[in-house]
Amino acid sequence: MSIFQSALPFLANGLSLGLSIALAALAMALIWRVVGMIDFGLGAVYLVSAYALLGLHTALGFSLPLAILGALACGIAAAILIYGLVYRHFIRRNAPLFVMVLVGLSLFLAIENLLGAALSSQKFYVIDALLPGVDVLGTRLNVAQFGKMAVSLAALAGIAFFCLRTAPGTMILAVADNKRLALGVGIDVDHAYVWTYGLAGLMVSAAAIPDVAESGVDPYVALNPVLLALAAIIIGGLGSFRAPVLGAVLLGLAFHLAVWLFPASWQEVIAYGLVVAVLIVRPQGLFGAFHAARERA
Amino acid sequence: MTAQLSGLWRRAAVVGLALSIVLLAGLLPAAAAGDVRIGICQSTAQGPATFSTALWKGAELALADVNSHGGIGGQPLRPVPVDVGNNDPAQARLSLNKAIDLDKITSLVCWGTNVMVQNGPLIDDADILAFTTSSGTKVVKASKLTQQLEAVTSLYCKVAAAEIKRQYPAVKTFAVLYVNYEFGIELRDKCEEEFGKKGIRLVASEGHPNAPPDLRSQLTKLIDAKPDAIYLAPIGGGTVALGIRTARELGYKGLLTTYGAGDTPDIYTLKLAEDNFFYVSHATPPGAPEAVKRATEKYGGYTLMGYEYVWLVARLGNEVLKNGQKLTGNALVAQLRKDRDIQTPVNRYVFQDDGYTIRPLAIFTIERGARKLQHVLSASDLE
Repeated sequence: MSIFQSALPFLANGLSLGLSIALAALAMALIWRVVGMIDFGLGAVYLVSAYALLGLHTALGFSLPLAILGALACGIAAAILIYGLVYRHFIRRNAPLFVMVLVGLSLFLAIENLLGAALSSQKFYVIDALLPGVDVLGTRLNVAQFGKMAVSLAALAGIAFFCLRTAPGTMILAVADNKRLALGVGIDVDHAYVWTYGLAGLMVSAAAIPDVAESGVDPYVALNPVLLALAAIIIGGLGSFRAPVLGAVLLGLAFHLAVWLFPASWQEVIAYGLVVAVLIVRPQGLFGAFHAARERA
Repeated sequence: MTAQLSGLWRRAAVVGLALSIVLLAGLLPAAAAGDVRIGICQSTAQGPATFSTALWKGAELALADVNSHGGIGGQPLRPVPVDVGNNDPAQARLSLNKAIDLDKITSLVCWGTNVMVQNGPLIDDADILAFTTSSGTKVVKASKLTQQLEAVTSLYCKVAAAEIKRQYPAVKTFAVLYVNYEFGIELRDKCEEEFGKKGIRLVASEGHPNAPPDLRSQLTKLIDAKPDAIYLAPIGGGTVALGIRTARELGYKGLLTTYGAGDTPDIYTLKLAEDNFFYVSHATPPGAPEAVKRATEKYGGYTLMGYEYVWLVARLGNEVLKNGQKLTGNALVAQLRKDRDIQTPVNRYVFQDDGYTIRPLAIFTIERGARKLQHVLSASDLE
């Protein structure tokens, strides 16, 4: 086996991990561009979707497609509710960024621990059998991985289409570009925020569902996706909606190629070393800074 | 008049402050009289959360029983949670200091090689008896008042190697997937040694962080080395489940095995664990109390250790008081090592002077959403 051939399984798995990180990164980037906060509360949305899927499918006996639709709806509702009940209060008072970060993080940790305390910290499985899959580039990728990759790419195209071709999308872009100007021309910023959180909720739920199908549900499943999403937007930047997706793919590849090249104990050193290196060399991200007036999805 | 009022307010403030101090003083040393406080480590972090719940549930069962029989010298036992975060020695130190200084605990049960090693001197200084459910061999070397309640890594590996030799004679090579910190590294090294004694050669090993996002690259490398068996050495059941699922998805058909980390409901409910997988853990003997058996099925094997911890502290405490001694860590550990060979309502233990313990272990597989006992190795078998 050539060196190139031996790298292929790691490339395939890295790409799969990267595109699965991309969905949450895209949601985080959207909220940052429009609202101006790094939203760790998306972890709570992730958990709501995960447990909704579990509850609808295994406890209430809904078919899997119906349970998936229900979980997506719950995720959207949770994101909008969190905005309406918690964030709006702080945004209206012009709370500084670090306060918003703390609010989101506290909310996430509270929900995480609430689930552990009120339900169980045990892991439950939505799909117990081996997921069907096919051999690709010397490794086996399952349907959940393909689902994550397809949904990530669709989300990237979908969000571009939504922002450029629909009325709520242009409203969101206007607020992202210049909130004061948007207010001046009569755009309802609160309405734009509701749409933003709804979209972010949809993307995070779409990330959670295949993850949960693959690895099961427990109160701690959201931590890695949220931290990796944050790392992805640091690497990629927030210059466009492509940037965090490319950042996520790079991060996923770093995670897996690190193990191909070195003992696995170096995996996190190399992956998070990449984050630090980007912060030092190009703090605006590898794929450009956010220039609100010029950039579009 | 104003001066009189001002003086009155000042006196009221002084009296109020004094009363508050008296009230607080009454609240703070809550353990000074009336009960005997015993510390139980707890965590809500991924991995430890599952077995810390089991430990607590087991302790609750024993507490109900012990307290209905007079506790220690007529004083009821009361559990004190000691939060160790995500097996974080610094967090554990903060919680342990509080449990020692404010709650006045007389004993502790805790896990985590790093947690126990780094806090060993604190346990000795506070003069409390500590039992550890950690398998790390270094734990008892860091504290003279700490005794293993759990089998050490080398014993776990020895039992797994013997089982493989007995039941899976075709297995000649193995690989280890370990959590990349002190405990996982020790388990890898001890298993290499013990499996080697049985002629089973280590062909690859890879580490992973606690609660990894995935294990696909590690297992791809391990499977490339074509091992006949893979030993999983994480610290939580969730990672064992992820390891089993990923290995099977990547087409690995060989034997998968692990130690007590696999003894949680995370694994019981995983159908993929029903094929070509076994683990070494603690059995619930037929003679164990019914409530303990039921709780163990629900919460996992650590339930037994929570139960036995409380039972042992109560027994030792009563013996120490009977001898006219105070309930100190030194007195309790001296009594434990004097008694040495102790049969609890569940298991027989041999507590050695060096802090190590010989305890029964058992081989389990998974069947129909529950663990299935294959066979038990008693303390005598392992001595």
